[in-house]
Amino acid sequence: MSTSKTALLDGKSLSDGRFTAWPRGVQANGNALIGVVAAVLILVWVGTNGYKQTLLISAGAYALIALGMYVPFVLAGSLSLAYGAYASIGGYSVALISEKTALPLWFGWIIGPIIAGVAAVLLGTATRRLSGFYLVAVTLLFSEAFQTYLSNASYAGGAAGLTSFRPLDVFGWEPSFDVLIGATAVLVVVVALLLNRLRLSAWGVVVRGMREAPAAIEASGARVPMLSLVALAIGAGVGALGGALFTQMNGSIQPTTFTLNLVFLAIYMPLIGGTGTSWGAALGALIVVELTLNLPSLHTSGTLLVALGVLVIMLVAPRGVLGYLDLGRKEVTRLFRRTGSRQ
Amino acid sequence: MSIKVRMWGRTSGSAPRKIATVAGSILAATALLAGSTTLVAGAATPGKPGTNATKSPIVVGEDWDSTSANASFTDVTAKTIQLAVNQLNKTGGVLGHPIKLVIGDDEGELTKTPAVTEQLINEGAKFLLFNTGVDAPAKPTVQKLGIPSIGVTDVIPTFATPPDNSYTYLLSSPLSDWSQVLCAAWKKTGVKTVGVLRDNSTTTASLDDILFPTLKKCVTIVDVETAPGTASTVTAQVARLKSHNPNAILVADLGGQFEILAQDTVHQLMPKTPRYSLATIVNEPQTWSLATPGGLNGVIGIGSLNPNNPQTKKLKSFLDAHNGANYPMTAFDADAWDAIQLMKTAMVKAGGGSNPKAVNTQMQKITKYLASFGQPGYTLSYSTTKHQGANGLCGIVLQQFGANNKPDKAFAGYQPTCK
Amino acid sequence: MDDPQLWISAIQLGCFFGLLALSYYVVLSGTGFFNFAVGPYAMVGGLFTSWLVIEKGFSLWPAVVVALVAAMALAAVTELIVVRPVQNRSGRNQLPALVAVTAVLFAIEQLAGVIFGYTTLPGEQLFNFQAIEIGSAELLPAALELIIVTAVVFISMAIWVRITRTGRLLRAVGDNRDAAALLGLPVNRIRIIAFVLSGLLAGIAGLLFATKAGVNSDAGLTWALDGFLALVIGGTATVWAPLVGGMILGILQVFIPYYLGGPSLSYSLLILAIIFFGLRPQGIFARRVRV
Repeated sequence: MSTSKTALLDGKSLSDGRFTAWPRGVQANGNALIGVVAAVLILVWVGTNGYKQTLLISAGAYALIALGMYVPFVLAGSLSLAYGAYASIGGYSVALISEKTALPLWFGWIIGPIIAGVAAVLLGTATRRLSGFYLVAVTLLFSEAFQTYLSNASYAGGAAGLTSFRPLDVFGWEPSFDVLIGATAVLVVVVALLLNRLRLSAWGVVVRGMREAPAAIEASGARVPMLSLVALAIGAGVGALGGALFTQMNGSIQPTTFTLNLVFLAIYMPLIGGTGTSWGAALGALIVVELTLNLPSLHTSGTLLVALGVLVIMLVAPRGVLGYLDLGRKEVTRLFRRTGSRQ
Repeated sequence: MSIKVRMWGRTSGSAPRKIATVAGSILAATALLAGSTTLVAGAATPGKPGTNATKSPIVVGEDWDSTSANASFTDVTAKTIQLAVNQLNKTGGVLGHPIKLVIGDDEGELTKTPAVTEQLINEGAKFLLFNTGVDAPAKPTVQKLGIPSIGVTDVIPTFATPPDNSYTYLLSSPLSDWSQVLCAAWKKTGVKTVGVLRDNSTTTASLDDILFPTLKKCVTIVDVETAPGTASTVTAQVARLKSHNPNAILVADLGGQFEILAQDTVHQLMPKTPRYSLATIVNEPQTWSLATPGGLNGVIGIGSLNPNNPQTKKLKSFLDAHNGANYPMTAFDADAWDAIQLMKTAMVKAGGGSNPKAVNTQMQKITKYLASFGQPGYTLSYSTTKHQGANGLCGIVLQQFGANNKPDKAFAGYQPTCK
Repeated sequence: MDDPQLWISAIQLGCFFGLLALSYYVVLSGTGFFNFAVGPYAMVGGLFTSWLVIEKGFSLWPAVVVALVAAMALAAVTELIVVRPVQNRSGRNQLPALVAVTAVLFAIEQLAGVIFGYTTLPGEQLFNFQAIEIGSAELLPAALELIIVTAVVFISMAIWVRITRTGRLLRAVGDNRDAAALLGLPVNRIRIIAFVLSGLLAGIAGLLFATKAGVNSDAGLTWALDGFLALVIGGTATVWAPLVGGMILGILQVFIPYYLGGPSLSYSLLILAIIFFGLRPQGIFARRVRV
């Protein structure tokens, strides 16, 4: 019994049920520390260089969308392609608050995720008996229908979208662009941290159990459908945050801003970075941005590299970059220990 | 029996696999580090320095969307830009300094334009050429950094109008001129009701938002039908238009596949109705063969090439010499050529290309530049308040397709004249 | 509803979607897997042919053969290098294979863009004859080609599935792989045949449909979705079910915009999918429920 519990608790572990060297809480804190340090280093590297700042914004938005998809996908095993729509909801909330009301823009940052969450719950309810390929197809159609809706919504600028927003005003303080860049990194770190905590919490365990053994979870009294909907809502909310971030920083949004290409990339990010921890989504986002935006010599085959890379990873290194590095770390630790204790 | 968690992992195995894992993770870490050093180093594709110009090169950035559907015209434009730059370098560059082109690609995605713009400026660009359908998002960036920029083939005024337009310029005839020419043509040929078929792209929507108010003043738009740009069929939409029985049909889209599909379908369902096109189909020779034989016969398109314009003739012989005879010259070639000449003029008058603000001041002093397109005698001028070069309506030529699916004829019904 | 041009358009779409759905059906029968990559296979069938003829000066029929072989090769690669290993590893879990096949879809799309370029190329008409007048409408030779070939393909498939050993084994293997292996059936061979056949069918579909409005490297995703919808609507009971599903989808795609205006198509398809997938995922012609 203890073997299976361990296996269930350790998202990175193998079915041999071995205890890892560190207790779970400490390991999670270790990951968080690395994540924070990495974020600080990246901010230092970006500095005030406009180009690098734009890369960071893209990476941050992608990371949030990927983290949003991570929750229901990796935890609950349900793949939804509606994330372009959720990101659009977040973005348009900010844009519409700016355009149509006199409220401060951070209202949009709060309302957007809420609306996205509601939309996710509605969609999730309508599709609760669907999974796998059927769910993918329906969520794809949902994305297209939503995009069509935006293109025809004159209050949202129709197909031309909305541009030039008021600056972000937090109770009278208008943060400069550089400060906002820092805030982007902070936001991603905080969300990744929270989601990781969520994954390791009792709730997270139950959700993951729901994926692997739904009958056991139902038997223990937790209600599977409710859990799925909550997971979907959280994911959609995080995705909407990504949309709000991108729109706020780039100053414009159209129905076609968050394309389907982006949504597929968002699935691949946790896979590339590593599904064992939510930091994998953030790392995957960095890698994808590097490949698709920062390698001009390859001249737009960045997406091709990502698609091929995902295939290679799924076949050869299914735990993604972080998982592989972590495995390597364990092996190295074990090698040292064996040399030390002469077993 | 324990619950086996088979997510993405593999069960661990023998020693060789462990060694491979260690090696693999070291490789992965190295790859990550290498990747981050490329981030630091940046990646610039160096251009070719000129041959006769020997001083330090002036870096000019070109945002060339060669990936999206717009590639149908951006590729043509890019080739001629390169030709023009090579020619410029061959004849001494800008006061002895050759022009070095560095290329970026926003892939037609609005979200990528700011990043690509920053990247080009990062690589030292002192002047920017936007060869893409999504140049508008670059405005805040070029305003902030003060780099003069030309939207080479853009016809939507947004790029050169406030806000953030101190450094941005356009040379194509603006859309408002298009609607004036269309209205005049319709008045002359007795068209009172028009049905519109369009795609659902952002560009078309922006275009229509600007055009329709003027058009509605001279004709009644009886119906507007929209179809996705990737549609496999527009028969339903055209059938709906047909039921309103308009005097003429206007097709508005990004060109390419959608335009051809639309024109073919209208030709099938409404063969006697005059067809007008807002798309740059007149300037996309590679799409003419997509249509059914005779499918384009009679289509009147907004073009800008009049074979009697001496500047046009000069450019045509230059292009024929470099690309082979019977090179199908388009407005894009003319735009590309003129953009480089305008840039050169401003740089020369500013005493060099290294001070973007000085070059910008000189751009705004260019008057009566003889354009390579439009009716004979057509000129472009700029000023502190005029960032769109067009002088009058005669930059526009209404070209008509014949039964050979080629826009050989100038529409006999109406042509704008230079004042 | 009586305009013949609308019906011709609907039937053309219906044949194309039917062929795509048949391509899905073959793989589904033989392996229990929805191969989203049939969209790109169709795109390659059309785009590669046109590219060879237009950019490389090939003559028509050699180009057709090369393109179809390429589509089949891509299908084989999908099975051997991607689907089979990933499915072996993940057992009952559908997700890894699903994600892997979408990665394949994107890889093929991007690769096509890099090799063939991003502009739309016109489709190649296989046979040359006059258009036929039907009332006020025109039946173009390209449309007639598509209809006739679709009929031929479906009839052949119906016969093949009934008469040949491989055809009859297709279903047996797909329904229960482990049992089939226990019985000593050549599971891997059947799987490969299923994939390669689906590549051929999709390639033919793309080749014939490209003449309608040209083809470019982006088309894979939309076509993949269309084919999937057509299959789910039609069901998997018989070889003809995909054709029925395709026709229904074609009719919807033409007549909904006609009666309700352009945007309503996306909304209608979404609602239809939710209802259909939720209430009758086995399609009109049902054989088994597998949601």
